[in-house]
Amino acid sequence: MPARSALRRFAAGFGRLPLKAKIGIAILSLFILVAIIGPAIAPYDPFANTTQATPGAPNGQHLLGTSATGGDILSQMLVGTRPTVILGLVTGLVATALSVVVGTAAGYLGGYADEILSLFSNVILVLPALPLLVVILGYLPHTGEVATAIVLSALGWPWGARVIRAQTLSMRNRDFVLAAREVGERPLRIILFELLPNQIGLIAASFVGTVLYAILTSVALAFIGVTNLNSWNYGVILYWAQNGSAVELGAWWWYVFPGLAVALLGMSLVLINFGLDELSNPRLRSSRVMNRIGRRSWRPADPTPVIREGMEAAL
Amino acid sequence: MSTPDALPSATATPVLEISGLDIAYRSEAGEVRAVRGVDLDLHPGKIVGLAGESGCGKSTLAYGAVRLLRPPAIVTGGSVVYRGRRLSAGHPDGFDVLAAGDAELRRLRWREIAIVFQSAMNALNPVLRISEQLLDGIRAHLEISDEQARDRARELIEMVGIKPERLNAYPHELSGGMRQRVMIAMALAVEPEVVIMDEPTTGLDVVVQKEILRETMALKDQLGFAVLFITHDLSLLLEIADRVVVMYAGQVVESAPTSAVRHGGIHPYTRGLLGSFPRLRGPRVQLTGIPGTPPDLRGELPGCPFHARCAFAQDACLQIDMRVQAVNGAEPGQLSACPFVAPGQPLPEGAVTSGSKLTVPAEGDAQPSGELVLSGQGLRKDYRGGRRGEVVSAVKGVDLELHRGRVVALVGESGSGKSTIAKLLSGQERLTGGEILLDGKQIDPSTRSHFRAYKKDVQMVFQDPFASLNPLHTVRYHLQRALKLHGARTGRGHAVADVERLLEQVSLTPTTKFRDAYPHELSGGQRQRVSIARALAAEPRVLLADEPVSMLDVSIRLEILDLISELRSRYQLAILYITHDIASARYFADEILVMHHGEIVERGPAEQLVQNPTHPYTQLLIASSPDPDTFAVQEDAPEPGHQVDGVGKEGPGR
Amino acid sequence: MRFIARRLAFYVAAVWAAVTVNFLIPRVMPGNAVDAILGKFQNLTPAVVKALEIQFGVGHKGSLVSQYFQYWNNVLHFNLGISTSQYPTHVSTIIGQTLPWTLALVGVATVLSFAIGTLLGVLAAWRRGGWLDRALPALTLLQATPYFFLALLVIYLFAIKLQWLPYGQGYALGLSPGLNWAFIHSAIQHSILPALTIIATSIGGWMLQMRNVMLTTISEDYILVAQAKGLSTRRVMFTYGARNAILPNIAGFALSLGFVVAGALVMEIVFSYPGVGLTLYNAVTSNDYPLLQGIFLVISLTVLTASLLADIAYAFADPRARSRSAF
Repeated sequence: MPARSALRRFAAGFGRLPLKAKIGIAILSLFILVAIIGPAIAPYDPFANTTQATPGAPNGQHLLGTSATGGDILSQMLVGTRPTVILGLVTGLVATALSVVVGTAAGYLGGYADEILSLFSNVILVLPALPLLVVILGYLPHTGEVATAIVLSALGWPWGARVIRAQTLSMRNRDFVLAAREVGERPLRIILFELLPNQIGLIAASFVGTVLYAILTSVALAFIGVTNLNSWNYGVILYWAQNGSAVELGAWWWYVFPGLAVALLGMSLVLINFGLDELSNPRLRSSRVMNRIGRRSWRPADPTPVIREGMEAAL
Repeated sequence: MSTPDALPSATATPVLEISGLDIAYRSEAGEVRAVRGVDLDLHPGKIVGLAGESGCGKSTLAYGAVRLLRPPAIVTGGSVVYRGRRLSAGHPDGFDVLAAGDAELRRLRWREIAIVFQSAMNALNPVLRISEQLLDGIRAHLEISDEQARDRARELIEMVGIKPERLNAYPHELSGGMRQRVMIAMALAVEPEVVIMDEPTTGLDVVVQKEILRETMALKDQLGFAVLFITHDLSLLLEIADRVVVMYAGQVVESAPTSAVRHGGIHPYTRGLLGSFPRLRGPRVQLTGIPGTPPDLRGELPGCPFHARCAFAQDACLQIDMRVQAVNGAEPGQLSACPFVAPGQPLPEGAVTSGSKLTVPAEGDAQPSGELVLSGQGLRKDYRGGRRGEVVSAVKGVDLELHRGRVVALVGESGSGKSTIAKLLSGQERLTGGEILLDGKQIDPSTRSHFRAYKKDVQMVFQDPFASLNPLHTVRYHLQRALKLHGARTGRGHAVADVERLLEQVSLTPTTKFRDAYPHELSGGQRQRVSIARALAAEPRVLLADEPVSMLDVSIRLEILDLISELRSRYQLAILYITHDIASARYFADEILVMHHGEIVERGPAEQLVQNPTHPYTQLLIASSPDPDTFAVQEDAPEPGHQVDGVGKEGPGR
Repeated sequence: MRFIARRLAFYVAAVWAAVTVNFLIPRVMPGNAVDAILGKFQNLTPAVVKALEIQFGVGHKGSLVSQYFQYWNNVLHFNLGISTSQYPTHVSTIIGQTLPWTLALVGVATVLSFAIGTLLGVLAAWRRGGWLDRALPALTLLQATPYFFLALLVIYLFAIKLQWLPYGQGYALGLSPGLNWAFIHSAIQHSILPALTIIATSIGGWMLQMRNVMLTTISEDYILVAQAKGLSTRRVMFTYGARNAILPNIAGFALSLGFVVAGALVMEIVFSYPGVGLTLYNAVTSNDYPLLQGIFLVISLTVLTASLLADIAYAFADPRARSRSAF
């Protein structure tokens, strides 16, 4: 397909997305941009130390204030965006790929393969992830982003796999899949060309959800110190804030700005998923139709409205 | 309760009076006016049958009249007045349903107007016991003691022929027929004066359908309620209704006493519908069906909405006012919306019929038998299922032979094993026993090594045209893949020309219009044609058609059957037609096999088998099938209501 | 009761997995952190050394299989080793002291959050476009906020700025735990802020889930039937609607418990609440591997038990699950 028409289709697809998804994508893009150029525009060295003993409030020189040792919070955040975002996206990609493979395999193959794969993913699902991560990462000698991403991916796929399996299972015996087999298509082609394209929405939602999980979990891990403290990410900043008793000292800028950044990043992902949900399930769409009928809210037990010509105001 | 008088009482006050009702669905894309100025009266003890195809507005009308529709549906005009005896004191002019508030409507609902919902739908709450669902309806309307309510529930459930112990069951523990009986018991729980029945037997097997209808009729005679019976199956109405109302595109096109409709109806649409049902009696004639598709209900429809599909259409059709009225030569009480066509007026010369010419072999079944292509001997299929893993035999030793140029129909109810045969013969499932022979050579189509070669000869058409095409691929993609996979072996190129050729074969012309369409842009009939074209891509010798028309509207079923029949003649295809509808089998097949509980109980030339069935099951099946010509005058109904243990009894819900 | 039998089998597998993972982790991880610990503590009794060897697989006493069985034997006797940071206290003793705090706080808060969230979800779905429905997106955004960040804000605002409620520790200093009013009062006061934070962050999720399922349920035919029967709105909404919509939610509750609890554990750290979460943190910072593993095992078993209870509740709520032959 020519690149331009692909681009136009992409643009048209974006245009059709619900507003929530558009806002979410815009915020996420901003974070990705910062992840790319952040280290280049950081005004200070994030590791810079001064001999000051108290955190400094935001001022003209340090827009977001400084830590107890004089580190510039803004610079720490600009530098720390990249690892946070990359970790989220990479984990999301790997875990989603795993969940697609396991989910479609279990759903399409059925039988014992399904039993075993489902059992396996459900067991991982019910085990409390964070303590397990802490234990595993606690043993690793050089805890860093790579190790965190690997372990997060290894533990983060079952939810998506479950959803995709259920969908595959319901589609596997749909007539169009049987018909493709009837025509003589091979299983791999059926999976790739008949089943998966019908699950794009689900896979996208699963990806976004996994990225959110990865970011929140990695930040939480860093916050409790299970990370490489020699690099920067939002969790590390918060770890130092907690260690430096930022709350007790009233140094709100130390934890509020990085915390808000995480919240904003998470929010963008939640918004994207809201949008994807609405797209795939029209029932969830906010009832714009109701405004047309002249009501804001509606309960299922209400009788059918009667609106005769010229009576619109009567409601 | 008054006993209904024998004569149609057009003068008596109706118990429910709908006049000029307008209902619309408001959406972003515009307003769909689903019901347009409909008048309808219900009288005590009478059944009004409301017929029409999907999307004609019949259900919208019924639910809208009791204000059960949810937004975006709104009532935009007309009136609905209820005049039940119980309410006559408080409402001397009748109860204005459209003006009633929430609380008032709650008193009207069930107590006065009850609804029997479609059986295929899950109308029972899956987490409540049957008894609780019966009781809450009773308690909501009657001030009676717990004891009395329970007695009433027991009485009701016995009335519809279910043992009182089953009151403790959950819905999923009952069969489809039983669930429908429970629904009827629920509807009659507080003795309503009007009962709306929305496709109450659709999805049930004919034998069960017959039983339930018979019981319902008996209850109606006993209790004297008025019935609005909604169905797409006009032939069913001819058996049970007192008056038939036919709807098309949201409007009533004909309203007539049932006897008048039985004699043919006046409105061209009614006549088209009547002509869409294959008969069980009389000569096997070419039927017409109705060509074309219903109009878009957005916006105005000037004049008669049917004119685009009408054989009698003329310019004046676009000017008429759609009001049913008496027509010259009609029977008393017979009203038609078409002022131009008189009763019995023959079709004009050169009228558009459903495309193909007479393709069904006219008389007898003396079709010269072509060579034997595919046969099954002692076919068996066991499933390991059931609660304790016991083996269930779906097919217990079936022999069948498919010859070129012949149609064999496999007729049976759901669960008879007929679809399993299709799966075995198409290689989707593995045989437990017996063998499949292609050209006299044994083959196991379910094995990977044989499957592809086998598909070259044996192709399948699926039941649901809405599910059998991938919504993400175009028509061209579907056909090209099939061509590529099979054509590679025969060395044919020119895929584009081949796609055109396939589309022409199934009369999807002009091909440019359909080539690049996505499935959702096509109607059900068009999709089924694409499905057939895809099967033809392999140039097979055998076509397995598993209920190819049961999901389609009645008026287009014949088109598809005729198409398959035409292809059979043109390419000398051997066809296995699997259906629950013995009348369509008679219409279309050379030989009929009747299947029951995994076995063929009777087989023979189509006409001979239908006219002189020998096996009791075949006789029951034929007697239960609704047929416009044989309405239920033969009221052989024994004691109504206690027939659950008949042959039509189903197993427990799956 | 095939459903419950199958679920039980599943939980047996999950427990086996939890214990086995715990057994394997120290053996497959690169480097030998435990040797370092053993080096640090020279004056260990032989019994303690043996216990550590079984737990961490150092010293190569016996085959992997026999170590595995010994390990199981220890687990079944609640012998989870000896803490190295609080030497020589048994890990099981430490967990025994901290687990009740967590169960009380996290358990109660999670159940409350689920119950309130579900109820609000029903109401939001019932009145489409009402204020609750419109407020929902804002509430779910709280989910995207890291638990501990919200906890920091709550502490700053309510405990430090406004000084409405205490924070840090489970009860005021100087009180002795026991069944006396002063202690209980103090304990409740100390739990309010963390509990509210847990509820605030998780309620939106339950609410959204319930609302979405409820919206699907509302369009089911049996709801229409209930309405056509002229039943009261309340009965239609709860007995017919919510009663069905809650089923997938209970199943979801069983599965996502592990995830929810993890967040609550981090909350304990921020509030210095004396539960297993804080102990986990202390174990991490002091490289106390026996304690770390013991906590993981106990948390896993607790979560699995809670999930099992939710599953049993599901079986009782859904008659189809009880008689379903397979699922």
